[in-house]
Amino acid sequence: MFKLKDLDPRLKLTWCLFLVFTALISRSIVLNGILLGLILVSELLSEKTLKSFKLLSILLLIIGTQVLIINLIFGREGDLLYSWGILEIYSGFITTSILAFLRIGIISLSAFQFGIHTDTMDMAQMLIHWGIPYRYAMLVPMTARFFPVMIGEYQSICDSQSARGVPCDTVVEKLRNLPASILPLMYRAMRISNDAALSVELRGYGRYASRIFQKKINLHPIEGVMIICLIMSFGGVVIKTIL
Amino acid sequence: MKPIIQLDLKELTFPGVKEPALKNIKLNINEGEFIAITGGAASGKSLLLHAITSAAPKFYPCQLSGTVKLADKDVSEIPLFQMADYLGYMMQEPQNQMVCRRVADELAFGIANLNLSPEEIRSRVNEIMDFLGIRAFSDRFTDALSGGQAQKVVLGSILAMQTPILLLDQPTAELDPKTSSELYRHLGQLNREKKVTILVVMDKSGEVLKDAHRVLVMEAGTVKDFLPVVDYQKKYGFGKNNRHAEPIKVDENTDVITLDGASHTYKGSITGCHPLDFNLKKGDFTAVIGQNGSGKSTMLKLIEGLVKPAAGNVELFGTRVTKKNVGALRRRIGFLFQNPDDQIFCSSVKEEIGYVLKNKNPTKDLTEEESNQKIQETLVLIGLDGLEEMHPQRLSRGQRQLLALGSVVISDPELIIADEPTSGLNGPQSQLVMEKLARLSSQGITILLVTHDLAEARDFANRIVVMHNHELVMEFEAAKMDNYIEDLVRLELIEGGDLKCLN
Repeated sequence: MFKLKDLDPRLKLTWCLFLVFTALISRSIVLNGILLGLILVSELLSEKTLKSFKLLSILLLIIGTQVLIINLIFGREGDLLYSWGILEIYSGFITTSILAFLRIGIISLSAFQFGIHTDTMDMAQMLIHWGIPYRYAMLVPMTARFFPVMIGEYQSICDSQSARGVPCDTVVEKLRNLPASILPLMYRAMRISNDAALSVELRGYGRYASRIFQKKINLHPIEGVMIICLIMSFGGVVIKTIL
Repeated sequence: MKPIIQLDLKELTFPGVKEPALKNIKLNINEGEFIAITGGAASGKSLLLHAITSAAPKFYPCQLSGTVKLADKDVSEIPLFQMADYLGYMMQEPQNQMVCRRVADELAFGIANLNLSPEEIRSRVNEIMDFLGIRAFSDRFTDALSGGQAQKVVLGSILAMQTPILLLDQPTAELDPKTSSELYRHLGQLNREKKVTILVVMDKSGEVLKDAHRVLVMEAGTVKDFLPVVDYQKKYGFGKNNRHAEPIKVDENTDVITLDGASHTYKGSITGCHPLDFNLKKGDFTAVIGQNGSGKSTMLKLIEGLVKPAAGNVELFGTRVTKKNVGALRRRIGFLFQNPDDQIFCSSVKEEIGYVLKNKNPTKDLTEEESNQKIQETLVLIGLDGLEEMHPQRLSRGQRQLLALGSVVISDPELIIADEPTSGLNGPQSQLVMEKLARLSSQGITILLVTHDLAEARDFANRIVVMHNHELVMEFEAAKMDNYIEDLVRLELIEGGDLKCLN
């Protein structure tokens, strides 16, 4: 069965870049709509649900509404439909808004899809394949681990400060008492990164020029063909846009 | 027997500090020995392990005179990344040492760096997962692990490297008694069956002494004693807790905390706790015990107003907790957290203790002189006088916990909630913290203590409540704990009827 997680990271990256650049180059609402549809279909085929897109979709709707309002007020494409004082509404605002919304949707959803369906170890291997020394390539999985840890630390610091009488519940309170939450977080970040650095060093990190990965990435011929197809399709879009 | 670790340290001094952090340490540790290391706050236990790994001075810049040899080789000549041939080192906080997102990748991290074949890596990882019983969560994210699981994964990652020496710095600090026993059982097995030399900085339970051969007692950066376990126990005793404060007086007519069917469920339908009915009277000293993940922290969060009850009510000082009054109610409470680093942020000990005075109403009218006097009294109370100007991050873990206690008691709270305040502390440090709490309790302050240490709960509290599977399942008088041993064994709070932890 088709699973995005099982695909080679190079194919997934090419797919992501193809979507992003095509969306940026093409001004066709139909093509952009198809691309967005392809993202959703590929997600559905792989995961049988669009649950992982839920939060991002809500954000996109909020952004989309703002884009619509901005275009409504400031858009100058198409025919003048309505005028009241300095406010002028042109007929092109809907198509411009839809195109902008589709582009933002494609860019964010494709990047998100690549991020959630690509193992960080696979990303590191991909970088190693491109000649980046493993000491640096491995920073990808290490950073990916560091973020959730620091989010947890920040939450527990806020809880702790809030309980001792330093309010950290609302955004305003968080800003007002920033030193009380940020300074411990910085100390924690330094301690964690220090401990992690010593721990990896003592486990032989950097001893040899290369390292072994438990699950090796392997580009199947069909995946290679798909990469070529994607590059050719992108070339087609570029030529069509220029002509 | 052949010595595998030879220490001849004359002095280890940090830049800008006159007094050496380690001095005059000369000792040999033989192959296959199991050594427990103990000592007071800032006695140099962790630093000694750093010196053995050569992290001090290679990683932590310092001046070291003398030699440290591992298997007859001077560690100053061994690059840090090559130390994996000699030893595995597990530091105090396991979550800090994990660098991979998935458990299986973390277990393989070290051996993959050694360029072993994929088959060998797989075989070693499988072997370790079976040995530590962690196969069930091999595919889990490392940031979603509980404290006990994280300890096992970090230990597994080190064990997979099959080093002849293991150094462990308080490996059971955050574990419940059952998980802690399990971990020591694994270590004992490794030492007996595979002749691995083990050095463990022991925690207050002293459970490691069951398997250890000798005990290294550190004091002020040097070796005070290096004795066989039997001699150590004769000389230092079992570190039994003794409450020296006045008896607890409970006012049965005044409620301080009331949980009336309060429950909480986290995002993703994860159970925090089932409906809890709990009452704490004025002057009470109640200990809450339970395994890791039994719901103790959620119960505290409900009381602190950090999470809302999904059902039921929470009352503090006879008033129902709401979003509006939670701030005012919190000002009457002192919270002592498990990890002091979550709250310490000022640049000196004095400033840190005094910071709370600015946020608490009753003391707002204090003059600067009065404030200073109060700070000084508190520093004396917690035993940190003389360290007023020191940066808190330069204190040892035990001292930072005492500092956190100081910043709690300075505001004269009516209720103190202490979440495992002695985790990571050794026997004398724990005794010190608990004695302070007991003294406050005898002055009429209500105490709610969450602990894994059953002896601590029995000796200092007057009442014990037990949480299991997110529910309050038992409640009894602390002095009558012996009558409930069978239940505690059934609830896996004492492993296999091992009662030594209570003696």
